[in-house]
Amino acid sequence: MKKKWIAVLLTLAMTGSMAACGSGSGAKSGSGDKDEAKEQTVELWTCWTDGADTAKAGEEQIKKFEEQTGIKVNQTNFTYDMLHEKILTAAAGGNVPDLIWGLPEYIGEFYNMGILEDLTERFNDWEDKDALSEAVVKAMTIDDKIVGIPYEMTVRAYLTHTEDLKAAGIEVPKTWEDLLSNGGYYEKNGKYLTELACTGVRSAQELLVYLAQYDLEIASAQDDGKYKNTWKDNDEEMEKATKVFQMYQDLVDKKIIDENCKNWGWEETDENFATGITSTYVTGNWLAERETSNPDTMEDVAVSAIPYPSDGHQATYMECKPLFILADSKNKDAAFELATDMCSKEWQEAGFPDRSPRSDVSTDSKWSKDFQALADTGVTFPPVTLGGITQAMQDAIAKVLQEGETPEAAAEWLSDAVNASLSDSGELSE
Amino acid sequence: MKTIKKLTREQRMKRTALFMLAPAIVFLALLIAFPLGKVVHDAFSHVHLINKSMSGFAGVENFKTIVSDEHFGQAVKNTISWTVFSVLGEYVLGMITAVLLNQKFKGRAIFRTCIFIPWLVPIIVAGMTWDWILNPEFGIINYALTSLNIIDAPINFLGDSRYAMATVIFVNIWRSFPYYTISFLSALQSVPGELSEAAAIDGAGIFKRFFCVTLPQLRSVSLVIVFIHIIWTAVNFDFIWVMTEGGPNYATETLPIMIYRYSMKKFDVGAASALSTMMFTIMVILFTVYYHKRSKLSDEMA
Repeated sequence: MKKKWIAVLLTLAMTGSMAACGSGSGAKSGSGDKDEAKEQTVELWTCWTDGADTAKAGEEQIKKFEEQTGIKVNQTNFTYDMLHEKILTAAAGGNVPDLIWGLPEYIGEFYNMGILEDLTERFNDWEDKDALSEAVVKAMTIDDKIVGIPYEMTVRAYLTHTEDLKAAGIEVPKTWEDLLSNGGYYEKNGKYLTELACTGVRSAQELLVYLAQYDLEIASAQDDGKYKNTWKDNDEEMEKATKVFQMYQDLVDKKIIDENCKNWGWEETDENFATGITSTYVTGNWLAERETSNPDTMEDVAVSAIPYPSDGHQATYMECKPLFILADSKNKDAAFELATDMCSKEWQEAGFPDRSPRSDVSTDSKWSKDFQALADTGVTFPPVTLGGITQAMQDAIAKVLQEGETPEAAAEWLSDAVNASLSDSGELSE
Repeated sequence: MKTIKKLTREQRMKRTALFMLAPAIVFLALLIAFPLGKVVHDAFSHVHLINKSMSGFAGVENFKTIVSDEHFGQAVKNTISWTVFSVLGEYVLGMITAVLLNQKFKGRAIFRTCIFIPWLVPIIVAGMTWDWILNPEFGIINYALTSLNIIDAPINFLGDSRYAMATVIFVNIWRSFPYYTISFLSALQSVPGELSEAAAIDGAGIFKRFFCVTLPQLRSVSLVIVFIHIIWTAVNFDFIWVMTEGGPNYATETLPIMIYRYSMKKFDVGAASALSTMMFTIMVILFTVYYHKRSKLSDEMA
């Protein structure tokens, strides 16, 4: 009998401990109902660089927000790739944070997954909404619904180390032809003139810009509201797409870029430029933060427009980054309050002075003024599911640079691969 | 009137055992059996995270999608190379170091401790450190090789498809061989020294003594360690992911990375589940072979 009772007690203890391990984090133990009603907690996922100015300002602003509103903020930092993966699994498990930093590439994907909260009503009631331009609000909109609050806006520019170019006796290349005419740059100067990202999302962003310089879209909106890559339906478009891949091949063949760049992502390319290993690179104004960490190599940086084909036109990538409130969030009002606070003039001036989506926040520095001057030529990805498409864009670059396929074959393959991806996600126009 | 049947002592013991095991059974059912069943179910269903119109029974459609993927054949070859060469390299290196560390020499205890260090380093740290060491621009290996005029130009070990797979296998061997070393070392210490001495008196040389006396004594531990590592290595995701993410251009993509690509990049959970089911089936077959061999060996030893 004694044994029986011990068995029952042990079983209860084990079951109890397991239940305790699996208990949700939503409710707070040890505090009364009254306290719970008073204290709201917003789970915030960010992607800032630890120790950088944006992070320092962000941490201070969060403290202020907590003091002013009484809302507690639980902030966790990730890289964008990590955040993207975690949110997909968190959404599948139904255990999502309240507010997350995102990239514009995620809008179509997350919206189609049904995990984003429609913020249209809240946004329209927000008194500070007029500080955002129409283009910025449009970038946060899909299917006429506002699904994000912008926290950062940048465009890409062609950054050059002026001392390098001066020593080499060349002007800043304005066109692809100018760039490709510097075949002997590496031999003369011991460093490569420029570089390309060939892996990760940066590679797809760069390719998007070079395609846009020929008015090519990776997926065009069709009359039925769906999307399609139309290059194979139009000889002129295919010819232009082929020219873009030819440019990639020529840059490697003429040793204007390092052939090792075929497996580089943004980490390597930004690092190489900031440390002066390469003389020029197309990147964003977040590199302003490298003036502190690499003062010697960053002091001669100048900002120019991205080189374009002489039979095309200027274009750049506009990146308006959204804060998303998740549809399954239990604290939507508090999350919206924090999101709009992050987009407030005070927070933006503290954390994003050179790259704010607000029209009333900017500085006189080259990182703000010179970049803003390029905004009119900005392009963005279409609002479709991009996971398969950006992977196909990387694969197409690899086909040219690693598999030795012809630029034309790569362009044709990419056109088919984009349509296959759109078909998989149910977004292909038939 | 109902009569209460009195349970026998054996029945009571069985009931108590079942009662005690119940939480563990529930735990296993929830954390292993249910997800496994879901994966098998999804393998035969249309499941897409984005495209909600894809639903219902898919038959073998998902398996067809996987097999017709242009990178599937390469991924299978990569998985086999990655597994076979990793386990082989780890076994040989582990055996050599174990035999050496089993000899009596000064500072043996220090070497025995130091050799375990690679296995203690977290995968992310080991992967990223080797990434830097092998970097063609500023990595120390390329610097040393070019400085000593062994090579003319730096080699992009992880970025060139000709070298990438061999490089990740090498780093994996470096990281995993200490586990073999320690396992073999403990087994070697239980081999009676008299056996080797007797063989030496009979005129057996050093290699003959090793292959005919020592190695047969390590059969049991070898079987366990090799089969476990075949399974661990074949299903390993993190090490390759940290070092190459399956690149350059799919040159190091193994089946677990392909599963990840289907589920997290293409959002095709059905196809990812089909590939997982295929891998799971292969692993079950491997485990069955191991179990059979293990039982045979135990019978022989008994």
